[in-house]
Amino acid sequence: MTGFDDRWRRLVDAARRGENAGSAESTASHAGSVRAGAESSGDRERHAWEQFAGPKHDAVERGGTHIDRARAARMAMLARTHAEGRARALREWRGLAVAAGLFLACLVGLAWSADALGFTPSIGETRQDIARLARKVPSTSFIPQPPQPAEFGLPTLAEIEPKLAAWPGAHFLTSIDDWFTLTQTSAEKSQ
Amino acid sequence: MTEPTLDVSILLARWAQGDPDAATELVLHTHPWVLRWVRAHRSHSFSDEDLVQEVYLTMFAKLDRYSPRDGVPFAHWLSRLTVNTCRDVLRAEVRRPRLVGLSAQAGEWLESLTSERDVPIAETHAARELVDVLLAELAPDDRLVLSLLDLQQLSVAEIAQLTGWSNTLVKVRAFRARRRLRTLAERRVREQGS
Repeated sequence: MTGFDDRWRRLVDAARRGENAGSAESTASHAGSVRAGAESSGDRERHAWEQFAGPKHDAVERGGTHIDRARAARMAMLARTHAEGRARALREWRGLAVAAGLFLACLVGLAWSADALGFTPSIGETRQDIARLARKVPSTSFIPQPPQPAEFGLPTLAEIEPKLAAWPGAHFLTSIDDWFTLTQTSAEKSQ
Repeated sequence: MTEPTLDVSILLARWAQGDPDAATELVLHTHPWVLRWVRAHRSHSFSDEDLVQEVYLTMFAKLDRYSPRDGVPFAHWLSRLTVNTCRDVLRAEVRRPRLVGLSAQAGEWLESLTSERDVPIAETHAARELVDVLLAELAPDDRLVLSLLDLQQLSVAEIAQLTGWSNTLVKVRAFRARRRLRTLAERRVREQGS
């Protein structure tokens, strides 16, 4: 122990001096009852109050320590109301937690059933949609496909192309095309 | 100190049945002890009444968790709850500014604390004043451990039981708190001298 500790103890002893010191008596009575035999639970509780619940020295005496019944009742009522409010809040939180759990379970169930029934959106399509949106290109998916000639009973271009060379007017059309090409070339040259 | 004739188990049973008078009786019987424990914390930011009320709010909120069958007397349970509630509340307490004026006698005690001067033995009020001022400058945990150990003269084991700290932690905290107290006292002496 240092010199300061000694001096601090001296100061504290002086500060404590003259204050209520009933601990020695209660300690003696407690030791006597322990020696006399087994303590009942009531005795133990009483000694607990004597020995433990009260500080041995009330270093700061600032008025009495007892309160009247009306104040005690007010204090108890406030504390009870607070305790009941806390318990109610706890119940409400539990209810909220259960509701949130049920909601999550429903979501998981929906996701699972959509997956099982094949309603899951394709990842590739989703990625394309996202890329299109990022490029700000308008969607054309709502424009229907043009009707195909076969739908009207007409032959397709691939079917009629081999027969075109044998058509009588083909020679005439080819000469007109050649004349247009020559005219265009000479105009470009003159410029 | 008046000895309480309190049968806690009966009161608790009445409380569990919703008897409002049981709560009042409980407050009436335990108030002196709760108030003394609250005062042992020497709070300067909170009034004793506020802290007592806080203790009762906590006590009634946790009362259903107390079971006499655990072998823990209600007094011990309540003491521990009081100490812990006060510690929690006071943890946010702003420490008092250091420049609190001391009386001349308290100043003499201060000088005798930091040097080997003669002690004004008769001046116990001044000693108490100095102790209050010095403890108020400490952090709540330091203040609590010194208050319980030196002023209330509880044993290390009792403090450990009350606070839930280990015996070693109580000793270490007390040692560090005294060291901080010494620094504070020496600084005060220097400030008084300058």
